[in-house]
Amino acid sequence: MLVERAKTDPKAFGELYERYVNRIYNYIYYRVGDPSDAEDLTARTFFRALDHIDRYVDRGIPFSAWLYRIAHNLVANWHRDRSRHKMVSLEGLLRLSAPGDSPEREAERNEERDALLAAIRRLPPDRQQLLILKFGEHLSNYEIGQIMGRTEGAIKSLYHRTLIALREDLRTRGFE
Amino acid sequence: MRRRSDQKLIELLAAQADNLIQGRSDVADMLASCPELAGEAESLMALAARLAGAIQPVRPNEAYRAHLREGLVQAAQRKQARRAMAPQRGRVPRWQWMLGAAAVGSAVSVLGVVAYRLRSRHGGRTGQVFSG
Repeated sequence: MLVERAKTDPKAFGELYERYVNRIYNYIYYRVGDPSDAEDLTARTFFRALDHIDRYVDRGIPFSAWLYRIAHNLVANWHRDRSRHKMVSLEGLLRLSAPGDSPEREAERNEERDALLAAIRRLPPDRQQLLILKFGEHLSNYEIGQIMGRTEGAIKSLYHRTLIALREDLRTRGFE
Repeated sequence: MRRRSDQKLIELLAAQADNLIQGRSDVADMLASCPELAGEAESLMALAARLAGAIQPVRPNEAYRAHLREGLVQAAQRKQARRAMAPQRGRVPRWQWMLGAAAVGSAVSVLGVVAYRLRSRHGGRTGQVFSG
């Protein structure tokens, strides 16, 4: 198993990093909304994983769940330390704009997306995590359940409640 | 206890989310299967479609990825080197420990004698001053 080899073999740890770096970066990016901070926190996640990998024991839960837990804790500390919630970068928003949009329509779409991403960041951390794993990583409810330590049914219910909460939030701010 | 319609809506939304991540956005068939939920389901499904459009996978740039990998592999190599050194420190033969302990013991004895003699001399001189 790659994780076991990575405990003693630096090259295997490099392979492990390649396998998970995109997912961890993606998760952190949507939690903090800034590419530089996402890079910094992704690096910290993997250095912490390297420090503690000897303590990892395979109990049937995927290794990715362990990594996400480290990333989740670092992001929580980051928010606590800075007490700020940045918006997603302009670069990221422009990248998502649809081809052929007029400048006005594009600005409107960006404003809507901006409001949606801001509303996502106002959600409790577990709900943000669920949405990022579902739409950012395209994971099944079973996989998300393994990462978040919940059953598949609990994930479906949480998703339902999350949509309702988001809709209410957007309505109160005049975006729905 | 959860109402049957709530459970149906939960399953419907979960199925739609799975469709969205597979690039399928048509919900007409799904809504037709449960007309009693149509209003609520339609509103939440529209929001889910917007979420799927807003949360696109984002990847780190290649230079950053390669640089971080290099740093991690180097750190892992240093960790391994430290680990390889650690058992060697524990493998010092017992006779070397005994020799070391004997040397330390001898040094302490010699220092003790020297200290005693210095103190005796110093004490003697002090005595002479008072007696004079």
